[in-house]
Amino acid sequence: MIIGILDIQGAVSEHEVAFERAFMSKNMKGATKLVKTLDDLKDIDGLALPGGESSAISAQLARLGMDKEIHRMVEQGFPIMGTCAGTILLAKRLITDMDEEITVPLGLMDITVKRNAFGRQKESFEHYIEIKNMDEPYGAVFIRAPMINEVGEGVESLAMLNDEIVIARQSNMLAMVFHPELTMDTRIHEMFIDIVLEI
Amino acid sequence: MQKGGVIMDVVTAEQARIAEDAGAVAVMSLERVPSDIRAMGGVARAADPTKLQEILDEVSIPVMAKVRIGHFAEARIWESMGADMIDESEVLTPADPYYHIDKSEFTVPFVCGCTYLGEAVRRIAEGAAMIRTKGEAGTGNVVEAVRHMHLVNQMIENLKIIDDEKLDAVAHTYAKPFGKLEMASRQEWCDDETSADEIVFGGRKMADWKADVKAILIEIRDLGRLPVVNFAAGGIATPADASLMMSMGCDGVFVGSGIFKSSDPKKMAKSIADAVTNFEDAKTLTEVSMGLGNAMPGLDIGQIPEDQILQNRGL
Repeated sequence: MIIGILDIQGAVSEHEVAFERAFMSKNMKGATKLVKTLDDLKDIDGLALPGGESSAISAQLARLGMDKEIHRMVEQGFPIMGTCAGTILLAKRLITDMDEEITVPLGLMDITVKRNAFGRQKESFEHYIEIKNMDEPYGAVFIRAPMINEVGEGVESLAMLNDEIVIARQSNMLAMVFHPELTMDTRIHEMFIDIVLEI
Repeated sequence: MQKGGVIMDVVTAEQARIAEDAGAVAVMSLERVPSDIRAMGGVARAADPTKLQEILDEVSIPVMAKVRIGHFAEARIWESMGADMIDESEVLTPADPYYHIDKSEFTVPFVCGCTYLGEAVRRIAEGAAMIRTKGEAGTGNVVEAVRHMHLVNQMIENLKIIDDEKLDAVAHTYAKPFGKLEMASRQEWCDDETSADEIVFGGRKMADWKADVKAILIEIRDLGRLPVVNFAAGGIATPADASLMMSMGCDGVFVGSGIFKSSDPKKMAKSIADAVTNFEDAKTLTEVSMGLGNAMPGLDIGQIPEDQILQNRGL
């Protein structure tokens, strides 16, 4: 299995390490591949969109013509995972306080996402959450995190924090507002590997 | 999470808007860009809070703000206002000749400049979450940023081959400046070296600082890089400059005067953002370098009077 990691901006190397550890913990063969261009989207079994600044990533996705191709692939069932900014990019609808929202999401997942919903850097925090089908609580890191406000039919909420959805799945798409790549716990990356195996 | 992106100096909300639209991953709010600070002389302080507020209200990306080296009161203002990161910067006039801010006392993360590995390690020991080269700000001359990045990279290579005894000696040398005040005060009455048991800074003994410095050096040796992100800053004026710094292993780029002192800031901002993302792709770099108009006026480092060299502040 080869998991592509979108290498435009953000926590790219952290996801590489996390997937390598997840493969090891599952005792399976697997590799990661950095995805910088349209061509790199070939020969991967799943794609992770890392956290970073969604406005910067979306501008480059469009410039490189990768937005349309990712959209096409995911519509056909290609597995994709978004963390933080990645979740903003996956959303069909964005809520923003800005006069004009410059992030153009890929519009794939039937969720409404609010950017910077938990506040600024100083409001960043860590919190244990109960994720569906996980035995032990999961320590999640929230940094300038967005929030999944609404989900459409066919989207399953996997965990809540104070009545807000923080991780959700819609068939081949997994989205979360926290940063699983910044902790040693590999269960989220393993969950995505399972989705790739399943599809 | 600014890795792989470009952070742009802005002095107004309008400039912040241009930066965000161009694809900046953060903006740095300040009173004047470095080249204007250089031209005006005098004492450069943290900006008026009103300005930071306008910029915080304008953009959705993180907003950073500069404080003088050692000026923890300025830092408290930015922290209370909700700045996303503080740059303890040599571009402003240093406020403390002996100490940097004890950054471990803040919840807001800090970025600090360095000219070589020892400075980077001291700032990390003090709690910096991000390092950048100092370069020579406001010159539009990339040579000093290149020098600082080379020196950091070279020393990381050296760490891989030295034995524990040498590593200990390096840690001793790198930790020494924490005792600057103690050494200065001792000059008045005796000439002993500061002892390891002496409390020197942040309520901690010299031996504690040395142990921290050594632990960080071991981490750097094992990782083959700094344990925090390391950006390029100081003199970056063109997309090619940005690409050069990224190719040297920087995690991202700060552009100070380079954007809003060029003849077409919008275009320059976008081109530098594109160059950082695609730094290895010569074709893209060529495309985005075309028709940019004039880059900011450049300054030869040799022509700058010694007392106006910013990188020597706060080592």
